[in-house]
Amino acid sequence: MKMTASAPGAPHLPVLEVPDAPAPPSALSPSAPPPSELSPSVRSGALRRAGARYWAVRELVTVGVFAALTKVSSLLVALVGGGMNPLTLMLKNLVFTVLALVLLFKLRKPGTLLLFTLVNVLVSMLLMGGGFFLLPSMLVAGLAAEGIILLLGGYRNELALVAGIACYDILFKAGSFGVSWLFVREQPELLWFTGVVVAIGYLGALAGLPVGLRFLRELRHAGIVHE
Amino acid sequence: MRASSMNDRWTATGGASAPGGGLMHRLDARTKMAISLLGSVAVMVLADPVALGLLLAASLGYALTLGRWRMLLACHAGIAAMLCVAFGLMHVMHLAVPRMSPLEPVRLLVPFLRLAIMVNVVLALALSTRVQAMLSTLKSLRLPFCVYIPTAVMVRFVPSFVADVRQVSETLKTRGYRVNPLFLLRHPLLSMRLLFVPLVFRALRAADELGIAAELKGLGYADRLRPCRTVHLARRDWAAMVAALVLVAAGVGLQLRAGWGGGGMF
Repeated sequence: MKMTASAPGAPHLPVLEVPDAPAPPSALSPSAPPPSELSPSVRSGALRRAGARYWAVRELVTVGVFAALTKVSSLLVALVGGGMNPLTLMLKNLVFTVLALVLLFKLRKPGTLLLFTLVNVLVSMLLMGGGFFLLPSMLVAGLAAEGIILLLGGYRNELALVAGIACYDILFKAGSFGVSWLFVREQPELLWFTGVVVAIGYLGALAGLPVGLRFLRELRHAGIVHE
Repeated sequence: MRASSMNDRWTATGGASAPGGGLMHRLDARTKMAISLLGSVAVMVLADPVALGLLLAASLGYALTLGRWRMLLACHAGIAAMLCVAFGLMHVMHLAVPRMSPLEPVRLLVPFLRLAIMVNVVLALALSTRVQAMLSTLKSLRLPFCVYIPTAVMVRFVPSFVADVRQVSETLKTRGYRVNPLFLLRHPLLSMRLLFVPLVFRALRAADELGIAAELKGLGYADRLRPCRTVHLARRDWAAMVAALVLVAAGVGLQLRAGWGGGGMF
């Protein structure tokens, strides 16, 4: 089954392969019987599945779109500014932090950061191979950040979200530094350069926090992100 | 219809898929992913320049079957330039701090050999695998629903966003902005505003619309994901995987002969 959604002037929305699913009991489908006419086992099964699911499909799609946007934005900044340009390194990390912050403020659901991380790692691993060794450090960073957010008041507390992202950034950068040691262990002096790169990246990520908050103010003003 | 044809034509990196089919295009996406993962593990474990040289030669042959000579040449020229910069900087460091361990060009070469091998296998995967093949592969991995949907959306959306980036940059050209590295250096905030903000707004709108469409289609009500068609590995896929394993085993053999003391993992 294929699904398309498009509107005049909208970005071309892609075809997404949809699992071969039975239609949900819905008033939108005239041929489908109303839920009261379904057999009890079918009705309870469908309702249980729908109720037990922690993530709504809309939220999962948002996580996927933001993960794609993060990759494309990083690629765009690197292509425009050059990969090893310090300003580019800062901007790449700034963009990541801003996007992560917007995502957390938009969804406001525990586990969002962890899922976002997991999806990013999975795609990096499948498409790029290199993400394989980053997997443990990213997951640890994601779990620690989720823990900090919960400790500081949960996803409803803005300060907790900012602290969680800051913590995620520093832990992930520490993990990246460890992985870079694996890469250059024959010539450990090269770690000085990777250390500088990681430090510049973290400065960019820190700068992304106030920029992200400013950006969120605009998005709230536009009615895209709600209080 | 338009999106569907785009789905068939574009690769996971957003580039146009090469027409026809060399060996690389006929390999299953799972085979290329497995080779990519095997390569990433092998380059981390091995440290002997001869072993890595063998893998580099093999990976170069593998990537050359793509037929994208210019892109490969550009990537390897970039790696060579990075090696030259690293060599120059290391030389300066040794002049400044003579107590540092002596500079050994062969040892300095090893990280760049690793990088070149990974570039070869990743380029082969990314430039020859169509988005639809990637999505089918993801489905066959039987991931949990909450991981499968965002991953599939991400894989599917990367080419769409690359197309959006092209549109945004064309709009900027029309408005008289010339976005290049110099512009980015001189006006970083304005560059971000011009390039980044339209993309975020498009992404947010697309996420909302696609999410609503997915819910209306009843996505998520199935007990389990069922692939549209079952994809089996062909004989050439098994041959490619066996060849990759044999090469990695030969690399491990060379590393064993050289000993693990020269920076290997063990």
